[in-house]
Amino acid sequence: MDKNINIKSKNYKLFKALLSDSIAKYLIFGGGIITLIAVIGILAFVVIQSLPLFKPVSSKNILSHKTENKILVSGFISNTYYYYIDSSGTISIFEIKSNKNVYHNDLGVSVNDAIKSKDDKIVLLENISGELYKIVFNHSVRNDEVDKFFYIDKVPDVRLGNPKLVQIKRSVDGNYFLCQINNSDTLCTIKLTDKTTDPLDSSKIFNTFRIDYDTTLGVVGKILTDSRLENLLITTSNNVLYFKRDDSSYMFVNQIKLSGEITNIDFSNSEQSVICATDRGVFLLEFINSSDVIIPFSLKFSKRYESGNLSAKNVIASNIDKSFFVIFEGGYTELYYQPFDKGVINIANENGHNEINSLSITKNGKLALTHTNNQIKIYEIEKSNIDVNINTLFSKVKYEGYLQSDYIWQSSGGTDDYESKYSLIPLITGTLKGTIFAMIFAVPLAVLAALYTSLYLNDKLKNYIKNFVEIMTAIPTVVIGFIVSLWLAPILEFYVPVIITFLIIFPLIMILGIIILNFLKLKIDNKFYSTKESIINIISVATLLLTSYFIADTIIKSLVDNDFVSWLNVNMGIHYEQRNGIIVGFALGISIIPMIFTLSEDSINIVPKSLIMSSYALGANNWQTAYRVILPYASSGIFSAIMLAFARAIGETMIVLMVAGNTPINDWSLFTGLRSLSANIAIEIPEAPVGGTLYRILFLSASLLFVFTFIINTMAELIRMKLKRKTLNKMN
Amino acid sequence: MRIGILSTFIFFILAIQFLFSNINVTVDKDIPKYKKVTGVSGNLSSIGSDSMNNLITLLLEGFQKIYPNVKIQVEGKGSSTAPPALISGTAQLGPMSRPMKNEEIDKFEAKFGYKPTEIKIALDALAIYVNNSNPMNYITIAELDAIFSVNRKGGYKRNITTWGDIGLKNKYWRDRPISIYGRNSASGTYSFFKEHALFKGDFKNKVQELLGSSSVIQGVSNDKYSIGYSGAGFKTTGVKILGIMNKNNSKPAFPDYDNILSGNYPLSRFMYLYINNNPQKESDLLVLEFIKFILSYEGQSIVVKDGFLPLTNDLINKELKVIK
Repeated sequence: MDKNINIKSKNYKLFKALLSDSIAKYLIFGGGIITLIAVIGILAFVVIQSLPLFKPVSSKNILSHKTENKILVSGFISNTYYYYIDSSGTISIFEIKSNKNVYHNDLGVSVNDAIKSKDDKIVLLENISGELYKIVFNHSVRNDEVDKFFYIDKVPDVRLGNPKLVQIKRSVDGNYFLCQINNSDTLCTIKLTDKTTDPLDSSKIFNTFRIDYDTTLGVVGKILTDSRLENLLITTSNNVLYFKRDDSSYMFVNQIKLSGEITNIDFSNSEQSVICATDRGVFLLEFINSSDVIIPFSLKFSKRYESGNLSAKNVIASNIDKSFFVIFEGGYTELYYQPFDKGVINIANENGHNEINSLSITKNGKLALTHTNNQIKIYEIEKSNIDVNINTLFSKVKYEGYLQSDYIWQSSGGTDDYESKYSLIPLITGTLKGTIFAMIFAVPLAVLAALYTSLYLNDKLKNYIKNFVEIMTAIPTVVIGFIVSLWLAPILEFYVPVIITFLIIFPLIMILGIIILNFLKLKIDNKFYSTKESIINIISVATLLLTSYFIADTIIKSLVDNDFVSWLNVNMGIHYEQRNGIIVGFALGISIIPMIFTLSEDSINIVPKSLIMSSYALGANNWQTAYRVILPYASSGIFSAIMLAFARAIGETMIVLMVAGNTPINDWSLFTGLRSLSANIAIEIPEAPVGGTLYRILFLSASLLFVFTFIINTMAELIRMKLKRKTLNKMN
Repeated sequence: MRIGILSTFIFFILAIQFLFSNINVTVDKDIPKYKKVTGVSGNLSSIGSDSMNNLITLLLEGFQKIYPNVKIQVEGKGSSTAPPALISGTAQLGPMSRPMKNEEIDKFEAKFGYKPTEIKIALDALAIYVNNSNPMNYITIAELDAIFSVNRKGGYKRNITTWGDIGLKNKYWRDRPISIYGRNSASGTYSFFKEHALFKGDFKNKVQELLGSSSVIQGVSNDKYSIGYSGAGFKTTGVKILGIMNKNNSKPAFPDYDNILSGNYPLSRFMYLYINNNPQKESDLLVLEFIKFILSYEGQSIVVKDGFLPLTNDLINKELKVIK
């Protein structure tokens, strides 16, 4: 009976052991798999979020329509309809989706010529006797109200001069103006719409401006004004003349001579740069404030776009971004993006058979319409990420308003016409700068401290110190950031010169001390194993520190007159910033020291005692043992401790965010701030519209961080294995 | 005992900060008090400006105290989220720290056939701060632009990098680089400053971006040679506000209440609330009463409490006409 129970309980125990074993096995296996899936899942999510950034710009012809008569003017009505007016004076409106004619009517005007505003709100028609009519389109029309598409009205008392130098402009308050040069020295603007009063009653001469124009400059070709009527550009054969408004007259500022005959000009969407189409290619001019001229603001030549040898006929800039279309002779149309030197994509191509006369863009920028003499074509253009590619992210770009190309990160501007600048280089530099400075600060300190505590210090003190350093790990990074940014950053400038000289003086004094000791032939016991001796040791180092600090302090005071920052600026041309690389290196270093210290100390502690003892037995002293025996053995452990700390410092966010000043500067100076990739994500993600370009770029920078850490960890592991094998081989 | 002293000290500092945290502004006594009406209940939701998030929440909570049956919901993700929310009908209130753009109004009009109703509910001003020990008292807009911007669209001829560049000849200031503090790019303050002080130019990459209005003040008070911009309501003892001159010879204007109202101070703005109010129909009682509450003495007191500036009685009357 007893035996039976015994067997039973034995079986039971065995069963229990097997059961718990298999449960544990599956739990661990499951846990591991889930962790793996989670990590891969996060990585996949981050990468997938950033992938649409690299969707190429594309264009597709979605509609062709042939007409009987010659097309004079064509364009869009909202994003769903297109219209054209032909030489017979007929207007036709089509739905884009079905190419169905929804409206067709004779305007009752024998049209001689027609021009339109860029946004298709207003078309001006001139009849044979020179009278003007305006057509005002209603872009918020619904399907069932075909009779409300537009109204037509005569513009009284206005005749286009000869040559017809006109431009219809939407002003900042939403009204439309007709700008016309009456004589070569007056510009008159005629108000075509007025939102506050009855639109039928508003065609009157609104303002006449005198232009300070010297007729010897040449025959006026084209004119262009911005929507505030502040800047006026006049072209004469191959010159662009810039006039600036001063109350009611325009004053001449400067002129730019281009190498080709100007056929047309247009403003970019911000009206801060001018794109010129000439018979020798396309040029970009900009309004820039540069110190080298007397007039602070002038028109400057910026660059010539690569366009082969084609002659450009017209240029149409987008209203929503910095892209523009250039129509070349022979029916070639190319989409350009202002900062890029080359055309992005070929849109319409008539292969030299027909000339494209004009191009219109919808308000959302997704459709483009071209017309030749008797054919209309509509193209669908996908260019939502035209401003982002490998070049803008990683190489220098010349942006509007800047004198040179540069790496610039400035993602948002608050206005619609803002050109976002997304160079990741300053952020990558910032990340590496902060991390490397932190490593320079932390690695020698932590590794030497670990060596000292485990080899030289007696056990009691060693335990205290080890526990103390480990507690340091528990300090939240936000606390370190807080203390360093509020307390240390403001006072650092008084200590920087001292620290620098100290770093030079301290080793000198130390070497001096050793020489003196040797000279006096004082024998120092190799083994500092008693508490007393350790304390003596610590005190003597501290005294050494203090002495060299005072020496450094006196030297500095006499040298820089107590004002290190001014001295630095005047003599070295370096601008010291309160939140700088030193501060970041220090704060980040503090946060990784405990990690390197503990892990290195552990790996030193696992060096077999027999090995150390044999070294001593062979007559090696403490340093020889440490350097020749312990360090090689523990090197792989120390190395991986350093690498782990490096990976942590790269991803550290809170400290950098609070301490670094978040300035996206691309330099390695000790005295300037930085902005790291991780801090950048924390700063910018609240404003990034989900699914927008900035949002995706932030995800891209997150994947970059991941790649960094991945590469470092892999390399660290490989090197560690190699080191280990090497030392083991040597030992054997 | 130690902790006792420490906490008294902290309390003392906080109290001082609180005392000096607002420009001395009181709500116009002539503004009528809010009168309670019957039959107000339902859901009131607001989507829009991030910088007005606190203000709208406080106002809605004040409103809820009068009408406990009203349920409130506030979301603040930025001014540009307000128009889509109004158009889709997900919110009745659209707080914005800038006026609606033409394009946004067009979209609204296309859907409803009338324009959104714009109500100004508060005033705000940005102030230029320097450290208390700074000898400067005022600055021109063009100089400000040359300090903060790379492009200098304000027309100043030279780049300004040291205090000597801007005219401080004192030995201790002349060669000192100016350290520049500003808000992070997510804030409306950043965009406003960029548009009105930098003329849409770009910030220098040396502008240190800090995560809150008070952090900027904190930075400036800790850094003797610094300059920064932040809301005018955040002033503490360690900093002083510079007067701004529009042109070289004009009189400097400080962001006090009079200058802001008269428009002499260039860096001031209104805070807006947009609603969907069909002029042909009876307006929604709940929304209407809430707006009346904002434009009452109580509402404007909340505006002041949150660090913004209240409207005057004249402005209030003008705004009340808009909704009637």
